[in-house]
Parts: sequence; C-alpha cells; structure tokens
Amino acid sequence: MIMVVLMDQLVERVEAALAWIGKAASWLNPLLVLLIIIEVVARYWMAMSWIWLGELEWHLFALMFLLGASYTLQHDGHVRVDVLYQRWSPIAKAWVNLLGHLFLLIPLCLFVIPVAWDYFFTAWTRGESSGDPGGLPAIYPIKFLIPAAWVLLLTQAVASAWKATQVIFPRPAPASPGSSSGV
Amino acid sequence: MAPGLAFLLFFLIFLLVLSGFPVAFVLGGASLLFGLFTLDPHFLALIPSRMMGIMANPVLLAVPLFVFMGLLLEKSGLAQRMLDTMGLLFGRMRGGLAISVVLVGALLAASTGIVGATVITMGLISLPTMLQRKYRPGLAAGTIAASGTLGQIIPPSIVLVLLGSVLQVDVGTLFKGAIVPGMMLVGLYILYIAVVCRIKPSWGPAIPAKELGEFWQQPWRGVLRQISSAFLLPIALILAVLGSIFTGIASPTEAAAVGAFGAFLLIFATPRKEGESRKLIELLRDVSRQTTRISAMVFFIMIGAGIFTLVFRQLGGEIYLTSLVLKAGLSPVMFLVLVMLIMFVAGFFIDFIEIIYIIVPIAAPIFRQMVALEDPLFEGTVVGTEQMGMLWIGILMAMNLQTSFLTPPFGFALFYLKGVAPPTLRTRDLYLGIIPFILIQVGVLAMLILFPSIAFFWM
Repeated sequence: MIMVVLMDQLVERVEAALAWIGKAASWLNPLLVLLIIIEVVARYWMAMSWIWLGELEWHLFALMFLLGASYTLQHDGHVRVDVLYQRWSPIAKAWVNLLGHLFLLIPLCLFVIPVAWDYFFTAWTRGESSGDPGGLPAIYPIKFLIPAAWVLLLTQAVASAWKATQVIFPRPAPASPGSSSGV
Repeated sequence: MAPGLAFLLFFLIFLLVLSGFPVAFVLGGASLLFGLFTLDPHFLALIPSRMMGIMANPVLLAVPLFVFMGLLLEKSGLAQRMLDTMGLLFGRMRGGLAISVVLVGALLAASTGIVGATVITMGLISLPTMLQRKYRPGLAAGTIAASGTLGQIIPPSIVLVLLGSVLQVDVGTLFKGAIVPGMMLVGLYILYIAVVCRIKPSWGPAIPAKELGEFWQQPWRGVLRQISSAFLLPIALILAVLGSIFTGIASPTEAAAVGAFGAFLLIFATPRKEGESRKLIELLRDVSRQTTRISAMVFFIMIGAGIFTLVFRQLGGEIYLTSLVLKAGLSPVMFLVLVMLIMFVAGFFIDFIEIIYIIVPIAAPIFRQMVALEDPLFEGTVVGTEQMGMLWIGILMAMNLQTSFLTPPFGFALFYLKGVAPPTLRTRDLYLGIIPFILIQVGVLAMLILFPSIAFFWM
C-alpha cells in the first residue's frame, strides 16, 4: 500500500516537472513571432539578413513542439478518433490508455531513443555545424533534443499508464483525482 | 518486399485508431513494431533524420504562427465583438446576423484551422445570440457548421499548409488557388441566407429597430471607433497577411508572424478598462500554451505518419499500389473519384490531419505520375504542368474534406456543434439545416472538377 502512495506522489512530481517544461517552452511562441518580425524588418528596411537568425528560428520552433509533446500528452491534447471512445465508460477508456501506452507508445519510445541518441552522438563527435557559412556554429545541440523529447515522452507515458491502472484498480482509500483534462 | 503485409499494416492501424488511443502514437508505435517483425531493423535509423526534416522545414513553421494568430483573435474576444458589430451593420436586413456569422467564420476559421476548435468557438459565440433573436434553429446551426468548416479551404488555412507539404506544392500558390473557390462558397452561402430569409421572413428576423437606434445614436466617434476596431482593422489584418503572400513580398511563414504580431497590436490598442493590462499577459500565456499543445499534436502525428510511410514504403506497398492502379487500367479520372470517395468516407471518422498523413501520402505519388504523363484528364484545360495538376488536386481534396465534415450523420462539425448547442437544438433541425449548405458545396466541387481553371484564376 505504501508503495502505491509513494508511486502516486512520484507521478505527481514528475508530471509537475513535465508541465513546467511544456509551459516554459510555450513562451518560445511569442519569441518566435518577435524574431521573425525582426528578420523581416531587417531584410526589407535595412537590407540586412543573417543566416543564423533563420536557423535560430527553426531551432526554437523545434524546441517548442518537442518539449511540448509530453505536456500535451498530460493534457490529453493528442487527438483521438473518438467516435467510439467518447461512448465508453471511464474504466474502458482507462483500459484503452493502459494497453495503448504499454504496447504502442512505450515501445515506440524505447526503440527510438537509442537510434536518436546515435544520431545526436555522431553529430556531436564530428562537431557538425550547419552547412552554411554564417550559420549557427553547431547543429548537434538541436539533435540532442530528439532523444531528449522521446525520453520526456516516455516518462509521461509511464506516468499516464500508472494513472490508468489507478482508474481500473481503485484504492479503497479516497485518493485525490489527477490533474486537468482536455485542450 | 511484401505488399500484402503493407496493407495488413494499413488495416491494423485503421482498427487501432478506432480504439481511441491517440492517433500519433498508434501510427508511430504500430508501424515501428510491425516493421521490426517484418523488415531489417536498419529502417529504425532513418527515423531521427525524418524528424529532423520536420524540425528544419521553414514552411511548417507557419503552422504554430497561424494557430497563435487565430487563438489571439478568438480568446481576446475580438471575434465576438466583430460578430456583434457586423450584426449591427447589417441591421435591418433579414438574415443579417447569419451573414455576419459566415463572414466572421471565414476570417477566423482561416487562421485556427482545426475544425473542432472553430466550430465550437463559432457555436459558443453565435448560436445563443441567433436563437435569442428568433432565428430558425436549423438555419442558425447550418450556418455555423458550414462557416466553421470554411477554414479547410479559405487561406491562410492550415489544411492547405499541410497538404502543400505532402503534395510538394508551393503553399503560397496553393493559397492563391483556393481564393476563388473559397470566395464562391462564401458568396453562395450568403446568397442562400439572403434569399431564404426573403422568402420566409420568420427564419431570420432583422435586429429590432430599438437596439439599432441605440447603436447609431451614440456619438459618431463611438460608432466609428467600434466599426474600425472590431471590424475594419481585423479584416485589414487578414487582407495584409494574404496580400503579402500573394504579391510575393513575404513567405507564408513571415506573413504568419506578421499576422500574429498585428493581432497582438490590435488587441493591445483596443481600449481596455482599468487593471486589464495584467489580463494581456494572461491572454498571451494561455494562447502560447494552447498553441504549443496544438502544434505538438500536429507535429507528432506528422512524425508518427512519417514512421508509417517509411515502413509502408519499405514493405513495397507504395510500388505495389502504383502498379495495381496502373495495371487495373484505372483512368486518372476514375482514380481521382476513388481517392475522393475514400477521403470523403474517412472524413466521417477521422480529422483532416490524419487523412492528410495517412491517405494522401499513399495517393500523391500516383497522382504525380499520372499528371506527369500528361493524361487526357487535363487536356483542354489550363492544367498544363505537373505543379498545376497537383495544385488542382490539392484544392479538390481540401474542398472534399470540408464537405465530408458537414455531411450527416457522421460529419465532424455536426458533432462538435451539437456538443456546445443548447438542448433546444434538435438533431433533426441540425441535419435538415445543413443540407442546403452541403448542396452548395457539392455544386462548387463539381464546378471545380469540370472547370479546373477556377483554381488558376489568379495565375
């Protein structure tokens, strides 16, 4: 029993951390707008352009959605086909989620993480930079984000699977319900 | 090479998707595991570079920016005020409020793009007002569902951005091509509303003279300020975004950023009450977070679909399908009709993002091959080059999806609208109310097939 309570607390902390990362990454959206405005103004009114700025833009864009993916999963923001799903009981929904996480998402993460790590590691050991002169000095930091995003997603998948088990096999003592739902 | 297996995977995914588990992870997870059992595991190593391709694609960068702009307009209450003001401007005209809904829907839908979001917003904003003003429920609901789905076709639509990236057609050109068909739809919707309200005045009553009097009797500065801040400026903003893309001044991505920035300035400049500056930060925060969630959703479906097409292709599914279509002697027209039918039926069950990433990638290479062969399908039309053929097909697809989302009993837009409608709106009213709009859609779609030049009007 104590294990279950500890696990609940752990899941809560982990989710809070992932939500923090996703919310922080969200501020990249207005920042991105601002950077592109600066680029446009500089190009049309001052006839200046920088290759690294364009590269920085897609870096921030990638950072935003990669770091936001686990936060989106927590919010149940990944779109479902709900023709049948919406009619099912909470327990049936929890089974779909438990099995889906165990047999689809978690294996997906487990297989992609090592290849994504290799992809980053190769770029890192070669000190790969962007091909363009005047581009960003290094390309490997953004490549690091690929395995990192999958690790975050794996973490949230495990947390979500745990929460599904708690719906299917409820504890006798009243537990505080999990966080938010819906986009 | 086992094409049979490729199709087994396709059906497996279709079944798993119906379970309701998030589409992105069904696509990615099922394809990856299926690939591990049937293929050389070396295919795994291609996944990170696929992701890198999405991350570094400057066109896809436009997606979060357009979502950001649409959410700003919606969440700031600007869309609501736009609707109210437009309703007052149409004032004495019967059905005026419904016409405003079409126009606001066209502008708003264009930027958020996600069908569910737009229909829900429009439903929440305008359905209670219309019912309160004694509009016939069927007409009110039909108008909202139809205008909420206009975002499929009216640029700057996210559907077109994503379709462009899959069909490998320039997004700016796709936007240009969608303008005339989109305008035709808007025009015909308005015409229908105006005519039906003239024949049956009780279907869409005008705004009471008293309320109109109050609006016009306030000092003219007030009238002018309301019209410009809630009507002229937002329209000018959207026109500026589109204009800068069409004239080639800006790429869609740059225009999207300018549009988002403009929307923010617009909200910033609108007169606010004391102590509301704090709310501006909160608005920005909420809009940013929701933009992140929508973008992550879109791009992870794209990643999942990337893994699916990778496995499908390595299993030989694509080559097999192409040879099957060519061997069966399907003429391009028949193939087009077949794909359109499949997309139409799929639209009953799954949203456009899934269709664009599950069905379109399989059909696109075959279309490209057919278009490149200069098939008689395109004879006697302006569809001369491969790019133009693909462009025309892209617009047909967008239009087809929009119709699918409106068609009872499965249309997506109808579910969403029913979800936010007061219980007084009966399902039967909704279904009957939508039929005239579906007929308009089918009519415009047929015109577009018969006269492809509609899509090249501006080129």
